[in-house]
Amino acid sequence: MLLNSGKKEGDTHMRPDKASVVSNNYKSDLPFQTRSLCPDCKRVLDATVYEKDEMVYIKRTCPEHGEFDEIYWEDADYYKWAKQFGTRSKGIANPNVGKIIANNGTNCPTDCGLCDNHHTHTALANMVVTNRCDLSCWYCFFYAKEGDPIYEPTQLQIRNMLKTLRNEKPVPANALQLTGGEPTLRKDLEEIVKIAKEEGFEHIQLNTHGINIANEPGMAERLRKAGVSTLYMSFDGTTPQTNPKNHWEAPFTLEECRKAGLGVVLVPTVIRGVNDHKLGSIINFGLNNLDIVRAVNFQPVSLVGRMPKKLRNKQRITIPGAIKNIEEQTNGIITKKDFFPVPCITPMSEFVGALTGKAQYELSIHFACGAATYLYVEDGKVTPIPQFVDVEGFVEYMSEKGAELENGKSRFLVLADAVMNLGKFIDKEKQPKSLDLKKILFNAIIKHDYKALGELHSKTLFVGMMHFMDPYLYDQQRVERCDIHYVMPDGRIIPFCSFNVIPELYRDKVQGQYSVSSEEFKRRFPGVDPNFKYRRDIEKIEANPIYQKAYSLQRDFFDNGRMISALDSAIVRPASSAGINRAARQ
Amino acid sequence: MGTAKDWHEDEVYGHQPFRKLARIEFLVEGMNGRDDAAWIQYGLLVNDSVIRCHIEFSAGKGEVLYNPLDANAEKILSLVKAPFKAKLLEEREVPYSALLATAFHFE
Repeated sequence: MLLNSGKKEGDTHMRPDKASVVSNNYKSDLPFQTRSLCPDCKRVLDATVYEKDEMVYIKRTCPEHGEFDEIYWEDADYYKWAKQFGTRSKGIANPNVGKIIANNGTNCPTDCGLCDNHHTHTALANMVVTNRCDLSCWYCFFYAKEGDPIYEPTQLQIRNMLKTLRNEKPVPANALQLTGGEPTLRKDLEEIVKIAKEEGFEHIQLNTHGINIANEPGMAERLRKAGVSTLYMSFDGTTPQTNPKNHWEAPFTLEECRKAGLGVVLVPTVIRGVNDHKLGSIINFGLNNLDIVRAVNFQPVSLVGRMPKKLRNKQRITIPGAIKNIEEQTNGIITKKDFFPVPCITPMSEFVGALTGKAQYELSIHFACGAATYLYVEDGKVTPIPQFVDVEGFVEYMSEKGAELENGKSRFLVLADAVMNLGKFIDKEKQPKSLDLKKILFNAIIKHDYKALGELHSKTLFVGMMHFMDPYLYDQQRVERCDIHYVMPDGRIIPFCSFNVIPELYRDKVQGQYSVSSEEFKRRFPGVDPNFKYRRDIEKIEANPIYQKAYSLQRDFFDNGRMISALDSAIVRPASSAGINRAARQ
Repeated sequence: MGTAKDWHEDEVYGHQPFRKLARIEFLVEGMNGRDDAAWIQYGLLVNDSVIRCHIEFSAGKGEVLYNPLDANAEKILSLVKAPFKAKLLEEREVPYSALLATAFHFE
């Protein structure tokens, strides 16, 4: 069995893994033991991940609150296939838990920052720059309600946090997401972006609802010039019903980004029964705006807060469920086989690392946390790249080449071999005529020139999935491998699913320590109303040609290019509910 | 709501809510496994006055950094509820900046 980088069990050159209470059985066959939480009291509990009715569940029993048995993945066979891509990882060499007290991570997940047991470096660092927001979405816990204390780190605090991220070893954090609250409410946002550039971040994305960018012409241009690479924009559907947050403003945001040359990632939160019937139309919307939309990154809902099981089963959707819906809603043009777990890319990083002798960025998260594919568009035809690339074969090949390098084989010979063989994983008959994937891969792997990957990105639509956990499906194996982190003003770096699933220990606790009262905030920032709320004029917006053009006639890439309206239900194809119905009956 | 603050400007770390913390080390009796250690640790950390905490099952000990402006050792130890029992071993003062220095990495 491949463990990592093509290394077989027992190989002497295999890199030692991080030790932890649950890491020994990573990638074990179902059922296996892990650790989880009681959703009611947050007690850390032994848990079992197991197969039932063709799905994967996680079960544990709290001595006080009883048994919790939750859907973990909606497709057991897919889970078994996906786990082959689980990889070992470097972890970090300089933990930042604050070692004035002993802390070796044994009480995970109540021991964060990044500790000796954490398996991954920071691939994407989130920084909350404000908890103010000008919307009041009912499901959001991330913003200050009226009269709540205001959290806004100073520029010095921000710089110190960024320095800490950049000094992570062996791999410095290189990608930053500014988030909130709503980050565009900070008047000094451009200065913050410039500080991040000064500290060396190459990729800076802005997590936003986009409304202020829509309403303030020129803001997108200024942010791009300051150093923002991408707008990471919430976008839950193409209709007002599925996307009440920013349906009306999104076309104007896209238009401003188009003028500024600022790429956009559409980020739909997927909730079963709310917008899971619109996943195909969201991808189609992205394809219709391919000049500016770089990616659609679906986030199956994280059910935070207490919720009865019946309601959870009604709303719960996991990565396989969302992929199944995409397959149905794209008329089978995008299939389940086109999606690969995120860590499948790790052997390529390791190969480049072995070739250059320099530790590389690794996306070595848990295989159940994320999946992705790339769509290539040529003459109106969408082709998922795995339909003409043997991804599994390529991953295995890169693993073998990486192992050869680690075993001391000549770099020149390995490189020559890789160059010779790259093409054999590409089906030239099926490859779109305008694409030369071999050349792009050559540039990325051999020249380790990531502009080549950027080039590929600009010609394709990335469709990704990232399922953040909630207390009901919490798995310590996954949080130990999390590479999307938050940096806090006390210097600690916290895995996403610790920060947001146990906010009373991390997000809310530390933001509370560093917040000032609403009154104090008003004294410090005269003229800024911390509780300002946005109000829209729907009639005026809907009469605007930019709005009408965005949602009126679009090409349906999944139905022979016929023209449809994104506002009607023409593109809605049946969303399967078979899996969840099984769960609901129990 | 929240813990008491002592806002000040630190030369290195900027605007900070605490100047001094208290550190206590204590024995914990009654733990049967790491589940118990994690549970006691959670119970302490949810308290606003507790800034950091780690309970080590294998050593039968705990350590807490707390805000002395709104708590004392007795109050902190009382947060360790039955069937567990905490017995103070040591208490000392720690500058908050010393804690920050172990978390931030500037090189």
